[in-house]
Amino acid sequence: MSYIPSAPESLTARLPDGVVVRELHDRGDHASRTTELYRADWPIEVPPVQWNLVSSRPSTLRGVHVHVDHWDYLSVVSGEMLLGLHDMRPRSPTYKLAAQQLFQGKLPVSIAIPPGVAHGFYFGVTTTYLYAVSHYWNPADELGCRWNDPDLGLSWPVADPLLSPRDAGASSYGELVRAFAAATDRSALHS
Amino acid sequence: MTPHEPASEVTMNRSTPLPAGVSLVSLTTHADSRGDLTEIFRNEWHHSPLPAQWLITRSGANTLRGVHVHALNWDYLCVIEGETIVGLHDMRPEAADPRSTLIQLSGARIQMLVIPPGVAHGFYSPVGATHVIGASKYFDSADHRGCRWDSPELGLDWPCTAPMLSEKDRAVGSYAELRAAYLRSSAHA
Repeated sequence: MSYIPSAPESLTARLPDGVVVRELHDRGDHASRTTELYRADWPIEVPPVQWNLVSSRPSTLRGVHVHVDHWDYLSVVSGEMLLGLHDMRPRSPTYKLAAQQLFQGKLPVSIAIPPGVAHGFYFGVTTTYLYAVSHYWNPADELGCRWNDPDLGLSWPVADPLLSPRDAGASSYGELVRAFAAATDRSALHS
Repeated sequence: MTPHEPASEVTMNRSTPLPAGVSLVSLTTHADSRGDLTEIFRNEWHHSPLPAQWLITRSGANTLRGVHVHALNWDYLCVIEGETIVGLHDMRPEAADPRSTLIQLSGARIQMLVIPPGVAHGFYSPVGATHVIGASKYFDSADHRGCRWDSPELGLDWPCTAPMLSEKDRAVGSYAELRAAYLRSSAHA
């Protein structure tokens, strides 16, 4: 193993327990630069089984979503992402901690988000990012709430973002807390 | 990504078969008002050795990377922005003719190209490109041998005459040296 990436100096926010931000190294010259995005021998919490590529137009907000079982591992390729996080795990040392941090494709990092940490992504400019998931996509593991519910403790620099119909019609934070608790119980029964 | 028309016209015989073990997987891009999403890789889609490592490579205009061949490593190449002309040349002793082909990949239509060991490959990006590359083996310079991109034995009719090359790709040896080194290392693989 050549190196294990660590948190970048630009990271200023205190993040929910288990969220890991790694500075990615690159090599090459002006003609061609290579960034190491992922290695199976890095101590990454849950190995990915699937990789997705997502492009977003300016003023798009994706989320806020939370997963019961799967990890997300993502990296901005170009553009910029304002990440919003909120810890929904009652037994976490950072329960209810909200955090926001801007990530840019020109300073490559990867961000690992554990189950139970709700997340939303805002794109002020055209942005492309890659994300890996530790389980194949399962609609039952895609819970969400309104992106601007005040109980999330997140402040977004936008009043009327582009949302998917599902995100636009999402329920309140209070309802998400109940749905997440019920889904966690079901998941515990089945594991 | 901004969908765009290919900037260069490359004459390629699309009926040329791909070398054994090479596959070009068409992917589905789901677009909506916010942008789009493409599932580029699922472990369950592939029966070849899965990537141990993923890389993002950004190349400027008129850049050529290669030509390289591996004795052990499988590469998974996805062009996510810009466009790339991939030259493939089958170096395996059992290869059938024709051994060489060019494939054009574009970020406007996302595909995943799987390249097995023994198939030499070079990537030419006329207008610049961003690649996502999976590798079944961790990078090992001993398994990243190369030869001059314009060696005539490669049989690759590149649409360029003076591409930008890395220092390493400029300093490589001949096709004959590469083939001999490849055959030695694949015999031990």
